[in-house]
Amino acid sequence: MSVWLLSALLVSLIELAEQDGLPLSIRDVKVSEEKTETSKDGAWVLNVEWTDENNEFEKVSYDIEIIHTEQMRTVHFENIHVKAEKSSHYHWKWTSPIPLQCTSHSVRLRRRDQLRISEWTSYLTYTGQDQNSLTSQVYPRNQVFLIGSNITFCCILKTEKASLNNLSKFVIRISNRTYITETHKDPFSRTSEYFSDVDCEVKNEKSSSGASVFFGYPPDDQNLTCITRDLSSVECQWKLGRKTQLYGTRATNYTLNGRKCEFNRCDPLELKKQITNWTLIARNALGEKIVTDTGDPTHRVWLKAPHNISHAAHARNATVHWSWSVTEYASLLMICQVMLNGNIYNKTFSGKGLASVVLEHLQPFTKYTAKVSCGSHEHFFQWGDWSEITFTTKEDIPELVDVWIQYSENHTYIQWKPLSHQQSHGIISGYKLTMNTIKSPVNIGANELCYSIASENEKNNQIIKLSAKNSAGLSPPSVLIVPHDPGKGVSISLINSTNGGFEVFWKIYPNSTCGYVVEWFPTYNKTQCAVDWKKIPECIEDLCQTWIPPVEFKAGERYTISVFACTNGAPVLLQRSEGYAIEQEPQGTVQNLHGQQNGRNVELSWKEVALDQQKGIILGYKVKITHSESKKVIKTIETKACEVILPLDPGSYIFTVRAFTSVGESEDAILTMNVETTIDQMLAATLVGCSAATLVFIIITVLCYRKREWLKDLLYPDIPEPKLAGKWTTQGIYCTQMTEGYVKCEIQEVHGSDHPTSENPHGLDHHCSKKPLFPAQPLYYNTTFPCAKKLTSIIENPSYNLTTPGPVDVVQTSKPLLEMQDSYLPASKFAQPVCHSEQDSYLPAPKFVQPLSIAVEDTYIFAPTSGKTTPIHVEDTYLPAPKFGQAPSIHVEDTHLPAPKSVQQFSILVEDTYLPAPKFVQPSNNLVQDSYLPAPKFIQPNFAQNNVIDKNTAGKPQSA
Amino acid sequence: MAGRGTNGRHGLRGRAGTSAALARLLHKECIQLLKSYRNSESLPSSPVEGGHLISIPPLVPQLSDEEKISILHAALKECLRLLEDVITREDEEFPDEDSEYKRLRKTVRDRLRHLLASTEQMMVDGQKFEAEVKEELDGQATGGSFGLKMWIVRVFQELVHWTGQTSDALSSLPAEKEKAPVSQRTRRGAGKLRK
Repeated sequence: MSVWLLSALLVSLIELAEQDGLPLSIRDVKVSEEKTETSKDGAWVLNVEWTDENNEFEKVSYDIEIIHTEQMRTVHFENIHVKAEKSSHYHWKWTSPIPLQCTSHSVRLRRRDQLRISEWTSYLTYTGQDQNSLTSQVYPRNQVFLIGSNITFCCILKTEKASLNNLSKFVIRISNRTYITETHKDPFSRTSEYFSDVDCEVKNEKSSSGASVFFGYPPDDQNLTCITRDLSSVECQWKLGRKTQLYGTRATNYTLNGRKCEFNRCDPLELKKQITNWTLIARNALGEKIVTDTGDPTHRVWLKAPHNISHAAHARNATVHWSWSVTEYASLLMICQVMLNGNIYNKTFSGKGLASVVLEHLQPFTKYTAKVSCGSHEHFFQWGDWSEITFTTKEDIPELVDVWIQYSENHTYIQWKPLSHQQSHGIISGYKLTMNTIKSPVNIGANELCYSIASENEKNNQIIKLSAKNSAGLSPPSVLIVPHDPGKGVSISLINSTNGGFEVFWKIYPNSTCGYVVEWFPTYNKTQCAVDWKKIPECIEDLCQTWIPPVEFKAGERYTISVFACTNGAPVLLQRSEGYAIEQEPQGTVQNLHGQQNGRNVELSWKEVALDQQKGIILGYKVKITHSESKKVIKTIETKACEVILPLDPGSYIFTVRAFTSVGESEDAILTMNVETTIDQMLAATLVGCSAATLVFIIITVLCYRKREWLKDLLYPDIPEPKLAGKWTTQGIYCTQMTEGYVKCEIQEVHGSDHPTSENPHGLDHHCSKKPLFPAQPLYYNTTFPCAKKLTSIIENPSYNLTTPGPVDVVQTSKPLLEMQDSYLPASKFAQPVCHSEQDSYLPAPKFVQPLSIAVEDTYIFAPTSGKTTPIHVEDTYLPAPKFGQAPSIHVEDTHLPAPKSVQQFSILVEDTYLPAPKFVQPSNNLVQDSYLPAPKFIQPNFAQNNVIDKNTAGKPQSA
Repeated sequence: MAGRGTNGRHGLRGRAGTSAALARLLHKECIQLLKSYRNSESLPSSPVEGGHLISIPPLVPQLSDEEKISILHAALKECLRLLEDVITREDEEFPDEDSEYKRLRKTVRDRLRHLLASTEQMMVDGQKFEAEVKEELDGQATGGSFGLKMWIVRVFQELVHWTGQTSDALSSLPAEKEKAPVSQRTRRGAGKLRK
């Protein structure tokens, strides 16, 4: 046990000897903040100094530990290697992540060499503001940081008991009174990237504690240039570069060769006639920039602007004078340039102390603005400042006047163009015209551009001289020899326009001495001085050509373009042509439109559109022939001639003629004309017409002959005659008008031969229709009788086995009704077993000597022999009377019966009944439906027919 | 304590209307200026505490209208002085580019001068009232840029306060004068209703 204890003690002693066995050689340790201009608002660098007495080893290292004193929390530990020096004094800097004022920092060191590690020194403390500050404070404050930097702020509370608001950004406590913000992010919502305001937000503290810091860039000034302007001092200028975003007290400070200055505003430096260095230092809180320039200032002369500039102007030259405000310039060899009306004058001027220049080749009577700038000629550096003056040159005599002649039938005009500003050289006061035919010259006003020399005598070899006048005098005379009738014998050709203008070509004229003149004027506009011209000095390589632009011409105007050769004598007309620069449709119509018939042809002729209304080259005419009555266009012809021959049929025609150009058509010229028929035509037409009529007549005749039977049936059908033989009876029908539109009828037996026609034993007439009777007329209807469809009763032969029933109540009967209203029953149709009911229809009575009308109304007709009764409703119906040998006596009420031609007088009692066929072999109960009642042949008119018919006999009328 | 002879009751009321309108407008602009400044800076939005910078005698009811206006005039005068100091110092410290805030600041200064000229004619003749300024800008130097900004906020708060006081005081002048006939009519109307 004792051995173990001794061993342990020995080991520990050995270890102590290895670690701390060396006596501490570090002395005079000092800890301090690094002083700067802004360190009072936040010191970031801690200086640690010490001395080591041990120089045993060349290479040693030191462990340095820095802690926050209150919390004894290590914030930095570092081992630094040093080379041992004789002085053995060391200085180490540490940059703190937070301002040193925020809290106390303590530092200790120990030495490491090749053999041992020394003991730690005792802590040396840099005391923070949290130890003795009487108020709340925030660090850093008022300091400037690089844009984008993350800053950690600390808030030192007034007392330990004070506390921060819950929303405070100071969340990390590093001492009893100090809190810091998080470092890895910007906790403050800044409104600007160039500054930040930080508030401590202490609870229950009236005045806010906070700080403002600023963000920017270090200086970026560049391009320092130093020059001399007065040859005795140096001025320097430079450019800013990137903005620092720092202003006021934080703005950049400048020093130039050690002298303070503002941006681009430094006091002039003394000029030394040698190569000189200039140094600009731009400095702000974030750094500094040094910009230098080197050069001989005498080679960097930037002259000032000429002083007291003046001028002396003449018509074609001017002298510009100036002086220099710097006396040293008088000995400087300089070069000057002039800018005249914005353009650099084509000549520079040089000389020692140059003070004037002469500007030549100026335009008379013209306003000029001259600017002068000079530089050193010997060592040209750059042009100096400009100095400006404005002057106007004086007037000079005008230039030659451009003169030409206009010929017309009776007059010749001298015409000239106004001089431009550049040509007039002043204000034109008038013109002077001299002629060889008159003695004294003619003075013409400044506004006149034309002068008439009309006179027959003056036309030959007149020499004209014209000069323009201004205040400087007369221009040189323009001479023109007036030719005599130059257009005589020259053919006129057509010329086409080119892009709205005219391109004129001509052949070279060998005798031309002064070029050519191309002249143009409106062909039909004979006004005075309407000519225009263009002078061509010469042909280029035998190509004589010029272009007259569209601006010279009006649309739709015909122009005459002439080419003259300029000779020593009078101008010679070489060619003449006419054309339209811009064509239009003709304005007027063709004239004198006239038509003449020649046989079957019409010869149409006209005259062309008036020349001044053509507005273009007439390409042709469009002729339209329209029939007057039908307004139908018969033909349209296009022709180039002014006449056309038209073969036309007789009739009335409208002829329309239009002229057209390449652009459009003129208005219509209209002629209406009748083309009459000739005798030959009339004969031919008559012959053809008669032949056609004859042919048609023959065809109709043949057709009628061959179809005569059919035609007879159609137009004149046979009417069967009634045949009455022996004794016959029939029944009269008594009908009583009942309510609800019904009629009650009773059947009375009628004896044809025994009853006088005038008797009416049963007073049957009082039930007849009161409707008017209609006269027998030709066949009128052509439709089937609707009653046929309703005829469903059995109609028996009233003359065979008649069993007369008593009156039957119509209402009670269930038999179908035969309704016939207002109808005629044609006798001829009785041959067919069809019954028609027709209202308001006529049935023809074809073979009556006298027509018999029987009106039957609202009557029921019963079959006389049948046990069954069949009411038939017949209304307003005519029955044709057959051929009677004797006029029957007919009892009719409200009925019009035409009196037949009777051979024998007989009586027929008819009351609201039809006359039945008199002889039927067998009674039948068959239903007659859709049938006509046959008209029997009456031999004796001794019966009253009842309209009850056996179907077997229907359509087969039999004679008795 | 007689008023100026030329003022009279009617003259005072006439000027009061104009001045009251001017004061109301200025008060609104001061509020706008304070808001604009807070927005342009990253300052805490809560009012800066520390009491009023300017103190005046209490505006007790016993004081006449002219006396009240004279006292408020003195306070506004101090406001103008503080504002001009602020402008000078701010332009030195933060001479950044022209901004809407700076245009508004100039408008407030010019209109405050106008209001002072307007209310000066309504003051008591021959009697001088003084307003006391408790703190000055020079004493805020230790606060640095942040302290200057907080001082500017305090000055603007003072402007809002005193222009509001003046606006209320001037607005109450014509209203009191015209209240009597209105109340009589009301009473007569009420009496009719009771009948």
